[in-house]
Amino acid sequence: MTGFRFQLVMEPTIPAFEKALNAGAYDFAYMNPYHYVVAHRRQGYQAIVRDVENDLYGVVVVAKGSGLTNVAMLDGRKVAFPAPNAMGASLIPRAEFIRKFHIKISEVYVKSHDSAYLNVLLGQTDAAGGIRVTFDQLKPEIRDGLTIIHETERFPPHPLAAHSRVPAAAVVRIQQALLELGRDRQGLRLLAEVPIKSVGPASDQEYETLRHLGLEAFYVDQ
Amino acid sequence: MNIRVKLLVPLLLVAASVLAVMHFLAFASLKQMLVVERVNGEKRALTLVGLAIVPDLLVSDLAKIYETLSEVEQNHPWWRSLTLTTPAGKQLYPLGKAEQIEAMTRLSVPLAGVGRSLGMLTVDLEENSLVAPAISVLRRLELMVALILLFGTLAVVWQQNKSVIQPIKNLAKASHLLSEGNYDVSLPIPSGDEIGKLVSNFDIMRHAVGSRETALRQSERWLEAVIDNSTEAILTLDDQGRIQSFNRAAERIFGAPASRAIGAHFDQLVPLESMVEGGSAEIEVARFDASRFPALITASRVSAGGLSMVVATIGDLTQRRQYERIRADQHAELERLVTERTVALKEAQREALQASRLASVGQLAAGIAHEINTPIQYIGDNLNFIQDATKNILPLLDEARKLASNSEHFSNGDPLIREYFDRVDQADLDFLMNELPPAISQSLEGVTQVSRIVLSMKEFSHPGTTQKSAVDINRALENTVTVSRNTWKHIANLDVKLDPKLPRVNCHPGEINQVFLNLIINAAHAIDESGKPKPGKITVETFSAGDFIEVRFSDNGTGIPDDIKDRIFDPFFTTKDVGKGTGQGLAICYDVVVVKHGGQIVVGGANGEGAVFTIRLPVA
Repeated sequence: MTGFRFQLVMEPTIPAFEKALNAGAYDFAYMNPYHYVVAHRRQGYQAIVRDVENDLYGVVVVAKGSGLTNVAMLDGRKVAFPAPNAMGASLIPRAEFIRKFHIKISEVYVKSHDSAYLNVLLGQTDAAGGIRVTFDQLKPEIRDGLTIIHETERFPPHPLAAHSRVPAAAVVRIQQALLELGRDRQGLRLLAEVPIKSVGPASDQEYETLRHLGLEAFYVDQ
Repeated sequence: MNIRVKLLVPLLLVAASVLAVMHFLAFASLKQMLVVERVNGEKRALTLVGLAIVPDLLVSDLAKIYETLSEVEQNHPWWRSLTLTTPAGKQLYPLGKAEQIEAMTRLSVPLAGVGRSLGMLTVDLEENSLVAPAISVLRRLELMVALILLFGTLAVVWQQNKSVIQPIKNLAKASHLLSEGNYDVSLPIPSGDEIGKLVSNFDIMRHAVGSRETALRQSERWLEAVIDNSTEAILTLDDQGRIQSFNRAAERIFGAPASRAIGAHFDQLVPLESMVEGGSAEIEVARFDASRFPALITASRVSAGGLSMVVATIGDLTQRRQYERIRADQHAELERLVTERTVALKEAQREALQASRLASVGQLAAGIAHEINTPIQYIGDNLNFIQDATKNILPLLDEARKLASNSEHFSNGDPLIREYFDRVDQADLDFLMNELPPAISQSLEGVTQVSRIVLSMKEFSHPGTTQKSAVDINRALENTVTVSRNTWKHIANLDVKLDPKLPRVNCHPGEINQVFLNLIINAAHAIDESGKPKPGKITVETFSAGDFIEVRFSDNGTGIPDDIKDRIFDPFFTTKDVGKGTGQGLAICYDVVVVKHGGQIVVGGANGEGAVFTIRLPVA
């Protein structure tokens, strides 16, 4: 379609990926919005396509029957997060806890969204940070024991970004090819695996609000 | 209890004992050991699982712990109620309430990390299900061993059945059949072992006994056949004189079947006192129907196997006596016939000699006839000349005498004339002149007859003719009549009526002449012996009848009686007085006409009025 050959690189850990991304190791990269903001600033990566149907946002869950009904009630309590730098599940909620709700919580990082939810369910933590998709994918017996008490602000989701060194014409051809995928069934099936439900063009301006959130303060170098 | 059961029961008992020991002792201990070993193993496995989840527990990665324990549970289906609890006793795994099952072995492993207790990993084990696979293997093993023992036992029994029991059974069956006299039992040789040798030796014995039995039976059959086919009655008697055996000839001779005779007392047939043991006697004995017949009876005592009996043979002499009478009669008849035939043979020999002599005479006659013919010829010619000369001379002689008597010299008494007349008187000239012509004529007639007889003899005898030739039968008959004239001329007048158109006949002239001669002689003899006034009458006629000619000889003699008409052509048959006829004449006629020429000879005429013999000869 494009005449280009691509080499797929999968780093073993998120920190390794962040390090390579910030060093400009990839011509194209698929990353979370926070990563994009940082990579754009450091290496000039430009978003070219993203899922235009779902926005990215975090959720805060508690155990049903726990008596906790709003975020404010979490003040001083133990909250489980998958990892410190998880965009929707950790960075955004933690930023909102401090800056929006002005509460202080005790964070526990439990490696995965599922662990975070289980810690809540089994009473090891009072609440957990997660995202809508992982919460919806929980087994019913877990999900039924939990309830969402808060949804964070919404942001455009993960973009596919091109390094500034890639010629603009090539970037356009690749962007067109990716958008083309969204027009036929087989392309949609491939995109759904990413997951991108509805592919559309992305622009750097769409991520502007993130830049003003000041997530750097909550980012943990690992 | 048969041998198969005797063999099977101990083997099965041994197998059952082995199985029982295996099941109740070995397998039970093995199971206990397996359980202990397995529980220890499971505990080690649980400890390892605990060690594996400690890091996740340290970072509260419950999802990972769930994943791990779920997988462990899937891999250990015999683990029940795998539970993870916090040190405070709060259950972290599974989500719901763990099921509590009684009568289970509970294994617990404490979890600790970074110097503090992290909780407790607990699992329930069902011992039976733990060792179930091993027990199942054991059970299968047990079953296999049981089956191996069972089938092994059966195989041993089967093998022994095949190699020992069956051959022995066959042997027993064959022995039974053998004892019943059935020798056609073939036994397969099972193997080369002792049983095989036993069967093989039995087979040899069977063959030997069978052969001897066959030979014995054959011998018995021969003996029975000899006895049954004997023309003499053969009986055996016990010491009381009761009949024990009775052969077919005895049945025939005594007129009763053996079934009736056996057991009967022999003295009702033959007086025992007349029997001489070791000897023979010709006596009269009785049949079962009381009729009596002459018999030759011999008796002898024989002993065999400690038993003795009397063997009697009885020959029926009735027929022999009849034969003896008939033979005596036949002997007398034979002697008579021999005497008769001897006489006939002597006569035939004489006739044959005569015929031979006649043949020689015929040849001689033919030769003589030839020799006579020439002088007879010139005698006749000379006599004719003399007759002619006489006819001329005699008138001249008469005239000469008349002239002499009328001359002067006669009247003158001339002495010469006187002497002439004296000599005329002396010569009886008149007588001579009168008698000379008839004398010459008679001489000529005689010469003519002689020449005719000579010719007939010559033609009749036909010396040296052996081939058939075309013969003028009329001429042959004339010759025969001439030659045989002497035999009939004083007895009968013979008329010859010949068919002038008779064709020549292809035949042996000499033999046909002999037939004609025999029939003419027979006719003359018949007339001569009839006593009728002579001369009688013989007629010889010929007729032409197509492809045949017929010659008929009729006489007015005695004729031939009807009762001997069939026999007159038999050799040696004759009605003539002994020494006069040979009985060969008509037999020769028959032989010549019928056998040699394919013709017929028929006898006819009324008895007492004369006989008519008709010969039919084929022309060709």
